[in-house]
Amino acid sequence: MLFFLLVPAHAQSGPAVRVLDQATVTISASVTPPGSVPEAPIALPDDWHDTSSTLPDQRWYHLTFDDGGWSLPAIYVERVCTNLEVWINGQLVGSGGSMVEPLTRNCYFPQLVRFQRNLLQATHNRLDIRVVGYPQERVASRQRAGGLSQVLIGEQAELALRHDPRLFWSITLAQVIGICMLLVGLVIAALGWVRRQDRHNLYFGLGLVLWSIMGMRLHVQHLPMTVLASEILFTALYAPLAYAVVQFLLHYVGQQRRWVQRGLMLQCLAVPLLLLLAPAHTLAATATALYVVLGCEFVLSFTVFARQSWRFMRRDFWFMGANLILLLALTVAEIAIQSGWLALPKIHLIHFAMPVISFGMGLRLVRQFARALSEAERLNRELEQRVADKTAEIEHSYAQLSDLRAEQAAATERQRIASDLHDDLGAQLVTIAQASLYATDISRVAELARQALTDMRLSVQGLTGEPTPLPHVLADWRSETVERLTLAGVTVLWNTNDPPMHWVLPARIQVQVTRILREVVSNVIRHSGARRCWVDIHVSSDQLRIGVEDDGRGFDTSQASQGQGLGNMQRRARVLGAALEIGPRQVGGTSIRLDVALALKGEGQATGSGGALP
Amino acid sequence: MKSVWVLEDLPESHVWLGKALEAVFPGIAVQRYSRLADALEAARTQPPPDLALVDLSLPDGSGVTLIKLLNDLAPHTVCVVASIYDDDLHLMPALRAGAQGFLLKDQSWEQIAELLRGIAEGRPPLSPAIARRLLAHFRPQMHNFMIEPLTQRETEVLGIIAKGMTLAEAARLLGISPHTVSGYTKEIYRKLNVSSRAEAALTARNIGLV
Repeated sequence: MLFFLLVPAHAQSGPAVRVLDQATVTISASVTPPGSVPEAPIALPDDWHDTSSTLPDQRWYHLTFDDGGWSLPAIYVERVCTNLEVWINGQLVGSGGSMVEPLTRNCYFPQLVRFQRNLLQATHNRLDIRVVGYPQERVASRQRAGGLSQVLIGEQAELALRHDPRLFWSITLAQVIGICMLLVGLVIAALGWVRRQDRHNLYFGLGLVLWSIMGMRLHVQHLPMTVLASEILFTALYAPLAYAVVQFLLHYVGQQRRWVQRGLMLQCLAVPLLLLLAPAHTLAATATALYVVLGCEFVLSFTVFARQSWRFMRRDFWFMGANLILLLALTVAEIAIQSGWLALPKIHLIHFAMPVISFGMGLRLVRQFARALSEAERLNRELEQRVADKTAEIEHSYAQLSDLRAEQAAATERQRIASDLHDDLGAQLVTIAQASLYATDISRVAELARQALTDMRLSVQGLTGEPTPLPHVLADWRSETVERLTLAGVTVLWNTNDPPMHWVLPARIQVQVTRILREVVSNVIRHSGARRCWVDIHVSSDQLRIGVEDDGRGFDTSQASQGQGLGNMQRRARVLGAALEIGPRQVGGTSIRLDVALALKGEGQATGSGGALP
Repeated sequence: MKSVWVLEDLPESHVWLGKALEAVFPGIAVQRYSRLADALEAARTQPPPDLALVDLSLPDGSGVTLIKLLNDLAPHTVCVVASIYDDDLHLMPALRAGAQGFLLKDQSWEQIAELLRGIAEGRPPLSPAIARRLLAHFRPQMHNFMIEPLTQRETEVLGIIAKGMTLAEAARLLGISPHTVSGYTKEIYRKLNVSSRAEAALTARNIGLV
């Protein structure tokens, strides 16, 4: 890059190009070349110093040259500030634009003015250059102080070789870089905006945006304001720039302070006021003082940054530190140039170096951001993996647990069947064995055996059958009860509520309640002599209530067989932990109530039923 | 009913069932078998009976085999399952094979007589559990075109029986005669048997037997 920068400066002058560095100058407001006014000799380049006027200064430069025999002659002015007109032998041949405020700003634009060779005489051609601009004291930067460089005259093609690269390097490239910086700045600022914890990105982006705006106006020829106004406006922009830079440095190392931020904000207001109030001819001095103050702020915040990054972020220290020192050096050089301690370079160095440095830093910030993002993604993946592992683990334990539960359920079921066989079937077989020996009525033995068979069937059904939904259980109860009672000539009035299909009665309760209900029906058929029987069953999620009433002879425990039946029923109710009440019905007959506690809540029914757990 | 076969391995049950049969169908010719093989042999060689009472668990096999064979060879024979289990798990295979009723061997003599009379008169029994099985079997989309669908009335009858009501109550609820309801249940049994045969044929073709 530097190599290319140097190319235009070292371009060799062809033989057909003549350098004019001696002129006479006249300070005059005339719009045509002044004729007889005394002219002072001066060497080019000429930089302007203060005049008392607040209006733009206008000077006429007068140069003479001989015809060099060029076929297509042209004049090349490397630097003129702010604008010029070119007259040859009293004839206007070219103009850089508006010569009155708002002036056309040509300070960074090299000028190439072509003219007809028939305007030339053989010798002593008169070249008048009218320059308008502001002396150095009234602009904020030496680069924009009024002045005229050496004038080159020669073959158009030769001069174009100097003009075009110069235009490319100081304008086109600077504009491209400026736009890139603006975009990069916007992107980084957006990153900082969306991620509050990366606030430094916002300030860095803001700084880049400000800088690119301030840089680009240098390459704009036409602005709808006087040079003075634009000088104040753009110089004032240094305050927010300082705000962004200082805040960036402090945020980057986590040393942001509220008072610093307040001070910087105050500065953003104070600087424009100061610039507006200062006398026009002290603008340069004010600006230089401002640069020094801002430079000091920069140095201070950089010191804080360096100390902190040295302690906690060594890699950042080297990279950012190198960049910032370069920046610091450039700032110092700029101040030196502005103060006149260094010669005005042909290229506005800081406007090229800044983007390079900023790009480097910006890339680093973006890389940091990307790295943080990758890190977050990696953590996320790890987390997902861990969640998946955990899920698998939990599923595994759950499977083990459900196996265990199934085993437990099976064990409970085995126990139930064992106790069914032992308590019910066993007891019934004992009764049959004894009755067959001593009973006088053999049909009593047959009845007992049938009962035993019926109970066994129920046990087996509980063992092999699928868990039955409560509505199905009610249907089975209804069918059996109604059929038996109807066959015995008893009219049944059956009344139940409508439990939901997903309620499943635990097998143990189903079996025992079925037996109790059968026993009750048997008693009604055998002993009551009833004509009507009312069965009311009400199921809620926590209770099963069965009420059976008949209009028979009423309750009588004196009969042995009936007493035995009641004993069986009571025993079964006890097994269930249920309340069984048997008593006389108020209007005659018997009333039996059975209340069984249930726990038919939630989805537990769907799973619990399969295992026949109580 | 002029002739009946009783396939039953317990001699006492033979006596018991014989008594009930004699009471319902006086003068009926009862042929007893205690082994499945004998009954199958008889089914192939002898004229079929009008009625067959078949126990399911026999020492040399399941009575369902005989029901299937009789159903194929003699569609007019009424097959009735006589078992000690009346739950749907035990009965469904027999019903699908063509049994038209079932009775419990430990039922009272009067109950058995009543059931047999009902079956002979075309009133096959239907418990709520069986009705639920049948409803599931004939549920639309559950199976395929092999199943001859139930009519709306047949489905209604099954639904009412499944809720635990008697055939008489179903008749009253639907506003039809008990006789008609019995007709529906018989038709349902027939469709069940037809669909089972169709399924069997399909299965046989699929595995390359036919």
